[in-house]
Amino acid sequence: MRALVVEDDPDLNRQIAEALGDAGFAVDTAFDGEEGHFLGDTEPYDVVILDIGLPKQDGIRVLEAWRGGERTMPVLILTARDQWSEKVAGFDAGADDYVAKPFHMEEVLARVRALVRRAAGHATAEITCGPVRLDTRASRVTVSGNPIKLTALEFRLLSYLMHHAGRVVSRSELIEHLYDQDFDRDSNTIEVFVGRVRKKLGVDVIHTVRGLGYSLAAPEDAA
Amino acid sequence: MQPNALTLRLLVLATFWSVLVLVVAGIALTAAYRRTAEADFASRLEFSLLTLVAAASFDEAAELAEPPELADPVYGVVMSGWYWQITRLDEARVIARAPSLAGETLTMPDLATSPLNPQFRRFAIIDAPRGEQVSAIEQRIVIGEEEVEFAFLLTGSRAELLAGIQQFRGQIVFYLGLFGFGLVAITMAMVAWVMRPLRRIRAALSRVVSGEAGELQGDFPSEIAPLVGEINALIAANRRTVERARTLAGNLAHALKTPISVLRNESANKRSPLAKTVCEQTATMERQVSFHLDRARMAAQSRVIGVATPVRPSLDSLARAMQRIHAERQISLNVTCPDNLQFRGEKQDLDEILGNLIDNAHKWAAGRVDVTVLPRAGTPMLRLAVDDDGKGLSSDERDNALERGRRFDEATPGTGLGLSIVDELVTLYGGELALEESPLGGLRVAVSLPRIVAEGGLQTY
Repeated sequence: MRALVVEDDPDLNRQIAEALGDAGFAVDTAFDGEEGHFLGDTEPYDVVILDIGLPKQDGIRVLEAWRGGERTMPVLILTARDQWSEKVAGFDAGADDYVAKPFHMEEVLARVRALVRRAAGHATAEITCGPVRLDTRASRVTVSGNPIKLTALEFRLLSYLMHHAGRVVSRSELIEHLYDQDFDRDSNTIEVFVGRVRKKLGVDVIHTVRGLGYSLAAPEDAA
Repeated sequence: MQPNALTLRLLVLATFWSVLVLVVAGIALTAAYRRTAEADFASRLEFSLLTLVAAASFDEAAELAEPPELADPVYGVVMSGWYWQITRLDEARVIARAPSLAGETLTMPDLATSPLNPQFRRFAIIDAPRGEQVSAIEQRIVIGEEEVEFAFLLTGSRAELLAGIQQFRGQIVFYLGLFGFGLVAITMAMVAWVMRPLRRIRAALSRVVSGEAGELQGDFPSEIAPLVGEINALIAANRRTVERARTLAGNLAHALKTPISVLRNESANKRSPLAKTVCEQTATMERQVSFHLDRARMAAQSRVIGVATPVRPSLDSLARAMQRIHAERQISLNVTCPDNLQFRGEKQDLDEILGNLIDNAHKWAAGRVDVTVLPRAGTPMLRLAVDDDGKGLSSDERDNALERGRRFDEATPGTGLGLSIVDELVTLYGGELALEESPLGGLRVAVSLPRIVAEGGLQTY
């Protein structure tokens, strides 16, 4: 799961980025509207946290530009101007949710997770695939009720596959959604990670679709 | 009409002046006419007297040869007021009298009270035999060698003279009165004509106040055009001030809330005493900042005049926003609002009122929220009702619910300021907010707000 944080206050930006990182996201950061606009336009984010009051380009303009350019990723707006007229302007520009400053980080995280789930078509906070259960609120994975310890990257990989269970996810798509933009990407490492996750889960839910990528399905559904 | 109305002032002044001028003119004209009439009357009497004297021929014994006759027929009409008589003074005997006297005798006052003038003539107003007043002229003439003195007395009817004057006065009063009414009527027409631009200003201003126009529109005379310009400048300045205050409040919100967010997040998960203090203090700061900024914004907005906000688009935008904000919950939002309904006030305020109420209703609802906005027929108000099918409030809870910063249920997010902000905004606009039991089973928040009433009176739906 990749997230973009566009916030001009460096401390707040860092705090949000850290919190999202702890929650299992690969996070990119931008500190003004132009930079944020560019990143959101070029990288495939699973969620964006966008401040409304930004230097160089206003958050509303950035959001309108994205939506005008067919960028449909879920966007959570942060606003200090918490009047309804401002919130409505944000939603009219294409926002999916808002959080008013000052906020509790837990609220931002909860809303971000909900947005990601909704974007993938899941209505509840828990995603299950056979015995594998992903609790998006706690960033926890269990198999048949037993907790599984995963590294951040492994969790991200499994989480992305679980969010998009039932369809084939290509390797390049996985790479784009697992690493932040500064990471030195190597497609061969994906196979290594998939292998490790399979081993840790101990059940056969991740299927390799030769030449295309991976897909997640409950064991009994598997061919 | 108020005592100091310009129209009344002008009318009073014009009427006062007209009446004064006309009364003085009437008196002067009547006096002049009276003088002329009196002089005519006197010369007629004098002429008749001379005719009488000439007509009387005496013999040597100073006896009247034959009774004189005057050509004027009035002296033959009995009791006409036109009389004459000739008196031989040494014998105090009337020797001849006009037929009109029918044998009666006229009496002049004593010489002491009415002396003769150097021409041996005197004038007096005396009572005639029938009791009416007559003007009398008497000429003393000495005749014959025995120097017998005779008094030739001739009278004319004063009633006739006075009737003439009276008639003249009547006509004068009639014509001057007519003239006076004409003056007042013309003054009124003038005032109405002069005042028309002022009435147009008033109409234009009321269009601004009602929100139909943004500024005073129309051509006005050069005397009041500067005033119109100043008023428009004032309206524009008012709008700019409000805009600036709102922007400042927004900037201040941004400037304060971002650092508070940083402090709060930094201290949230740490256990040191410092972190604890920071955590508590930032919470206090947050409440204070929100509370005062909301009120600063409200104070900045409430005085704007001449704005109208269509309700429907705001409702539609908010409905879309609510769908996303409460996407986790399956709540059906039903909106009822006529397309042409307009709120008489700022869009920000309407959004704030609707947003807070609908958001609250979503937080409490089990599955359904109804929003109904309708004009209140016969009044310049609209009625807004937000219903939910949640568990509602008891009547005690409803009474307490509007208290500042109160939260009904600590488990439901929200600072609790929403309802009190709405209550204050509604009060600022002269409306009312009431909490009632909803037909859906939960809470109903009923609000009345001013609406734009189309020109031509209060519409009824």
